[in-house]
Amino acid sequence: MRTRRGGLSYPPLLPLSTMCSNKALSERSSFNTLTPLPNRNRNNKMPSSQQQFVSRKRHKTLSLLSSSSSDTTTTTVGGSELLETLPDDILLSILAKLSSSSNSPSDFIRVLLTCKRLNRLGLHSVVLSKASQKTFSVKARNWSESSHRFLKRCADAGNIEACYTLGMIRFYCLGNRESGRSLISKAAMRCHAPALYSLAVIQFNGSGASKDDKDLRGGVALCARAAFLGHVDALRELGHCLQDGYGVKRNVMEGRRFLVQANARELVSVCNSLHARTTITWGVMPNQNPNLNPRVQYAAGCPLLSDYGCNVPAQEPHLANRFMIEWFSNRGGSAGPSRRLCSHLGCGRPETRKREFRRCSVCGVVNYCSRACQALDWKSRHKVECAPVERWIDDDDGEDGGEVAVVDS
Amino acid sequence: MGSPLKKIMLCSSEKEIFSVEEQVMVQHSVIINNMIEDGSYNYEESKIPLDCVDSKTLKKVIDYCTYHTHHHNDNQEDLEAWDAQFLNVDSNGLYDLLMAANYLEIRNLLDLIYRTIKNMIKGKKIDEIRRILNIKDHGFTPEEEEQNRKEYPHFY
Repeated sequence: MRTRRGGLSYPPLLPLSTMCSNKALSERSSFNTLTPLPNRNRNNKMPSSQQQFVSRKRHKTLSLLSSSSSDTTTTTVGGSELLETLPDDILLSILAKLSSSSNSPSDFIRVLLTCKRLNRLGLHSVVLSKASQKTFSVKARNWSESSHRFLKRCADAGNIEACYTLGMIRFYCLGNRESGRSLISKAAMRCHAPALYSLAVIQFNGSGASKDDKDLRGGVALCARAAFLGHVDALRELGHCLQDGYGVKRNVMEGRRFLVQANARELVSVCNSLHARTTITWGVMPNQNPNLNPRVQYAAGCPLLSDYGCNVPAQEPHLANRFMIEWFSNRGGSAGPSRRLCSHLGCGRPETRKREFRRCSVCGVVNYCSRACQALDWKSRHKVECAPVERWIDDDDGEDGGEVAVVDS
Repeated sequence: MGSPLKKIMLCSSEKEIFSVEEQVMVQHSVIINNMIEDGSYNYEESKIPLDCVDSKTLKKVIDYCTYHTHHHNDNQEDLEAWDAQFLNVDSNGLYDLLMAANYLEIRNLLDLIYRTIKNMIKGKKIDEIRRILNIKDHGFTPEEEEQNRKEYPHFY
């Protein structure tokens, strides 16, 4: 829209500013309370319709911001009403910044408890949709109705990370398969790679349903989408599926390509997250103390990428995985009678029915939800523990640990 | 679009006039950019009145825009150091800058101020946050407040 008027004047600032972005409409309008009406320019004849427009908005703003003073000078004098005079949208932006960068939930809760207005604004969907994993990272032992509600609120606000986390918790921990799955799908539809991968695991295992409900091709398709987004576990899973011809036509070379890519991506992400700390050690595997708690060992880091003779600390598992690990370890390390957990220490997925997971066919003492978990655990831990047990009869879809060793070659 | 050396006039609430390179403001302020693109600004006569921005603040805003226009190729650390120095003002100054940046829609300055305020309150105890933001009436009923204090004693 061009409004050239023979160089007499330019359109009044206010309507122009409201015109330029609808999104910022409330922003502008809340500022109007601080702006004298733009009749300051002698040349400027303002159409009455515009004046009406401004005054209507002004009225709305006043009712919206009942606590705000309409005069800037009061703040410059006292400075005491600093917070009260800030319009809602500015506070929302600040709160969104806070929620997206908090290091712990308490950082955010404290602000919510500071005053009623911040409490109301802090629960606005604009803020919640930006909330980071750390903001809603809930510990399994602190799980309560209110943390469930908060997570649900974040998910409803369109926070994909919260959608996925709540979906996983509902599906695996609370046994609410339907709604869990639909929440994970919701995140997956918005290209959330871990959600796509988790759906793939559910398809591969037929989790939450019977053995006949496995959908291998569907699993591979989901895996491929997650792998396309650079998800390391999905790349590894897809690589193994291709090598074994599981749910997809066998193609060893292509499979190897994916495995190499998984390793490379892993190295990149580890290097990025470590950057200054030089924890990467080339050569010898660190000595592992068998007396240490295995989870501590896992966190302390050890060898992935042994293919390249390079030992890197394991990546911190996703919030959802950490939650599941803690949740089930508080319940005696199992998900119920004859429901085993994935033996990979960074996973935490439980079986949803008897004998859902694959077993190491060499020793038969460990179970895995997926090929990716098996491959990871083989390299990081199981390789040194695995001892063949003669009497073991392979049932189900056993994949032997030795096969995983192919990755190492 | 005008040539980079064209100047535009900004008029503060004290009616003091600041002459700024057009490009500097166009690059940073969405509002001024729209105004210039609109063709409604007359280079001989027009002055852009900013009635809610006082001279002191306007000068700072122009400083910010000018610096960031001419130093956008500097390395990140230098820029951050400059920004930190730039925002080394009292809370009133910060408030005025925030309102001015909001008014002129200077996105990166807004972002910088948001981050600064966020860092002021992040990781603080509730009583401290109340002091920093100068909240006298928190608006909770005494019962709610007591309940909160009981539930999260270590937050206060």
